[in-house]
Amino acid sequence: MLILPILVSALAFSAPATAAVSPAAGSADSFALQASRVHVGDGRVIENGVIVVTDGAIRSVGASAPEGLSVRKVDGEIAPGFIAMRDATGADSENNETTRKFTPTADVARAFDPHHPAWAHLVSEGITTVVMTPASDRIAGGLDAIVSPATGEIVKRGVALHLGMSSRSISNFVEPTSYAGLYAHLDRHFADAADGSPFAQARSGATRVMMEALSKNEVARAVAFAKQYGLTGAIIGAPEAGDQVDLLKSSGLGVVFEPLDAGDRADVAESAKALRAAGVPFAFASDAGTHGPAAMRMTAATCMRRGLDAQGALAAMTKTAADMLGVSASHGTLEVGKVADFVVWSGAPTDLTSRATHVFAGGKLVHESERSSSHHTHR
Amino acid sequence: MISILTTLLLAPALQGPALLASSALFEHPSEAPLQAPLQATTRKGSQAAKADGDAPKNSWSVFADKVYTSTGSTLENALVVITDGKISAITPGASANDDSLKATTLTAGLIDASAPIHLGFESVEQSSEVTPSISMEYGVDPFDPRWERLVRSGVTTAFVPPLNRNVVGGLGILLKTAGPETLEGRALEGAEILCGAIGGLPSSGNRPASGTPNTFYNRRPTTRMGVEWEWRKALFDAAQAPAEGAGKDVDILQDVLAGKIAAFIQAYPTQDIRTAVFLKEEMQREGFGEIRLVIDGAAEAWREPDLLVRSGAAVVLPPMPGQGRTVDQAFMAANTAKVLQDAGVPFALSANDARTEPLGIQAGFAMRGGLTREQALRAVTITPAQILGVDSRVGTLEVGKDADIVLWNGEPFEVTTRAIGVLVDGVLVVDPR
Repeated sequence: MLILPILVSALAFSAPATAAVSPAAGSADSFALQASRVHVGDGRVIENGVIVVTDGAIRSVGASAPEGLSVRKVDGEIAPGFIAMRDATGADSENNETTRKFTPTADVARAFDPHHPAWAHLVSEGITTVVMTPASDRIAGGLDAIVSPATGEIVKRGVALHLGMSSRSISNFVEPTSYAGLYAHLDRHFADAADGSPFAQARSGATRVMMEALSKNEVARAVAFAKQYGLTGAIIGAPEAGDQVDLLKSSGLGVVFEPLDAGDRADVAESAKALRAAGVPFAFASDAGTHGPAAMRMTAATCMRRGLDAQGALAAMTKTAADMLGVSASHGTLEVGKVADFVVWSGAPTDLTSRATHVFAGGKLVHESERSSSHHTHR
Repeated sequence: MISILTTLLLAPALQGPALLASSALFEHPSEAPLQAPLQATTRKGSQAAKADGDAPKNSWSVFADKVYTSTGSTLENALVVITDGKISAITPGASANDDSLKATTLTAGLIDASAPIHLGFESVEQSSEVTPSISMEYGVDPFDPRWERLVRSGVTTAFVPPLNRNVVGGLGILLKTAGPETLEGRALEGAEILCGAIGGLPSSGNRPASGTPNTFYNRRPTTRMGVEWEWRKALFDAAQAPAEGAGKDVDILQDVLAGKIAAFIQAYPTQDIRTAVFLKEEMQREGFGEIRLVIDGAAEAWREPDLLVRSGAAVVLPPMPGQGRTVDQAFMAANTAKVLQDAGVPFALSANDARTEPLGIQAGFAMRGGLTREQALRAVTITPAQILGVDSRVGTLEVGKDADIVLWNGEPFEVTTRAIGVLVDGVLVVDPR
């Protein structure tokens, strides 16, 4: 896996705050925390589990810590940091090349401002990894990038070719103005893809695609298009995916649900349960810019209200998301060797009444809830 | 079966090339099927495909006091037997079986020759004013709830043209209104038909409101003259282009000039109907070809019926407007259909998306304007089937045809009569029981 630590976390943030949970003993780069529960993220839950972090990576997860390393007890449950599958909050529209519908090689990582104040709000909701995407109204707006908003690290560039295949990408003022025109362009780009271009990479399977599609009709077309060109990746949108389970399952594509607002219809919420039952992978977008930083958690909770089990909700925000992005070797669960991105929740991680009391990214404390102690965080 | 063609052959006004053109209109060019529909499947579609045992029942018998066949005959106390989606027997003077569906009257499923069940602005590619190869397979949504409304009104086949914002908008699509939620599951192979418009709509909105024009609208036509010029230029260029290798758009326009693809042109007021006819005649005069012309939305067709007879064009009338005026400020008289009937112009009625008065009521309006019930019935069944090139499959109640049948609770097209049951391809879509 390609990890490009473009920005060293130390540049963006000073040393971890000396808060209540900072290392008290042992190696300067090692610490151990014990929580009432540790959610590994692969379904395992360790009661009174201990997580040991060394040099920003997880060294062990289990019942105890190595000898000589003091264990700090925290009040709450530890879970992997959440992965938001679409958010460009901190891009300030720099992810939207409005003059063109096709900018397939545009690198969204270049729209990432690690110091943008909006990121801190996402981190405070337990989100440690974000997929930055081009704007939804482009057709091939560029290449998605995985970033760590708390550390400023660019985790992976060019993770997926982002394709807008919904009505949002159809304009009244520039070509194309129709689905027929949209697909004619896409067809031309994929059929005539030059070697090494993102379209050719997507056809060969070297690059994933993230295909935005909303109505059942749009989803059916996107799936057919993916089959035609052998594309792998996910559909973003698909609020009525629950009606198209067989189609989605046969396609091998995953689904990324958009945030639900309180008054939204129940389709998405029920779709999540249906996809879970069928074994179709799904994750969530956060879109904090339009829905607020807690939108992803709220959406997962709404899905739980409509029958999705807590484990399924947690997986969608952690392991499944990492799998869909191809970064499960480093992200998504609390397993040995993975990046130490995790959150101490005041209760169950998928419970809306829980607060993220402490957020660690790359093994460093990057957020501490003001109510969790008398200390203030460095941010 | 008395066909419209026979009627035309008897009409003395129809001599020479115009007659040839109009007879070509009703042939079924086997080389011109609809474009291969999208390979999309849906939950219901894929389930139906994989589990044959779950396929919907498509064999029934239907008994009615009176069966209007659209072939000129009306049968009393008739039993219609449907086997595997096709009509297998029609027996007058019969009695109902125990398990027969029952209705007061039956007609063939209605056919709307101009049903805009499309995605509106997203159905037409406005970045160019002439887009012949844009296909409506991308402009319709099989999940659209308007299909259900249409089928509940008794319409079982619909032709969907693109929105009228382009001069040459693209190839329309012909679909059954019920069945699998996929285009491939619903498409009917008929005549290939290129759609476009003449009149005020393709040029509307083409002026920048203020400031520097920065969109494609500022080079599009802003007048009726400009719209007609676009048509003429596109056809002229196609006539001059080499027969092979000039691209999909030119190929389609060449097929229009060769009469293989019908030109379905929207024109509401007299001046636009004239322009469509003059365009056809100009192409004929110049030796470019014989256009098979269908004039859609021809609200003012009643004003100059002789012109239509001369042109050999078929006509699709718009729904009767509430205040007398259609778009483009055309005035549609109550007896428009009657005038066309008397002149011998083949015409179909249409009803938009059935949100207001459905197609059956449009037929009722036409009767109020002077048509007999039989004539009105033909205008919503066999005539549109002929115009669309699918009269071998739909449009009448005859043995061997698709079992698209409407069960009415009274005489069809009366305001107090309702479609209580609808069968599409032998599947009971609206259940009368």
